[in-house]
Amino acid sequence: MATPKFTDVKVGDVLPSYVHEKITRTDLVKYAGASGDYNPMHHDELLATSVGMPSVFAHGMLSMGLLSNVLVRWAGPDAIRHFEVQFRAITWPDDKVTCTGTVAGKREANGEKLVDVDLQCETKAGTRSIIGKATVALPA
Amino acid sequence: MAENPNQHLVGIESPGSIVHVDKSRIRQFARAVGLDDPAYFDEAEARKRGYPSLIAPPTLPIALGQDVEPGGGEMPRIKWNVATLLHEGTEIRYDRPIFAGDVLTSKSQLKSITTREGKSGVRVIYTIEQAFYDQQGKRVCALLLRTSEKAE
Repeated sequence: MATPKFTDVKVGDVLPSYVHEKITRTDLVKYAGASGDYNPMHHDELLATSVGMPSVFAHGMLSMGLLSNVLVRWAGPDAIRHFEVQFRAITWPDDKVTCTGTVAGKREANGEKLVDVDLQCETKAGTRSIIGKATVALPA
Repeated sequence: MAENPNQHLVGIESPGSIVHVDKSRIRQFARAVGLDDPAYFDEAEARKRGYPSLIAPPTLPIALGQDVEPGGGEMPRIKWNVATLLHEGTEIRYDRPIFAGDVLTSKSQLKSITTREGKSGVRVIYTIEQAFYDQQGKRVCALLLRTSEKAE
């Protein structure tokens, strides 16, 4: 898909969503290896259940990585200037992660045309695992 | 509440560590988060876009700590209980994209220790700042990582 132009973008525009159909334990192991985050709560089911968790659970940063798809698929891999998230709910194996974004503002700064985007990941109807925001630079 | 045993780490910046950003790590990380743009995998394709090599995924900086060269400084060695750790939030500022072949210097510090009331009691929040600089000393990106554990 072609990168959108700043002039064509309007506040309230909905970005194409990105859906990860099902979080698997293999996804968690892949992310552990890629990120170097070997906190056992993300791969050691015996430990996780022994401290009262129903199972292992996903790295928050895996969800932030999935959410980054919304930005790079819309604006390109080199467009992001700022990206922040708050983790609100745990993501579990078998969850479907739906990542969405909406244009929240447009401005110019440092000679760049910037678009502010509100972001979220939803794991079940009404459960937002992440809320976030980002700023991307777009061509005029 | 007793003073946090990590209090003495607050505000102390680590000596710099060198990180070589490599193609294999970029490809592995992109796969792990579902990115499929060829600019993360195919160097010829990345060059067609005007990039010097593969471009780093947006959240790769979080993973670069594992690739530091021996002999540099380390992330703050915070003593916490992994069984109650939760990631509260992350903020990344990008001064420019990161590419394979970049040689970066990473510096980190524990910025603050605070608390908040959680659903199941008080949580202690550790805010870690990590920044990456290029070989000219210009900042490339900065991260703020907030992690919490259950208060004792």
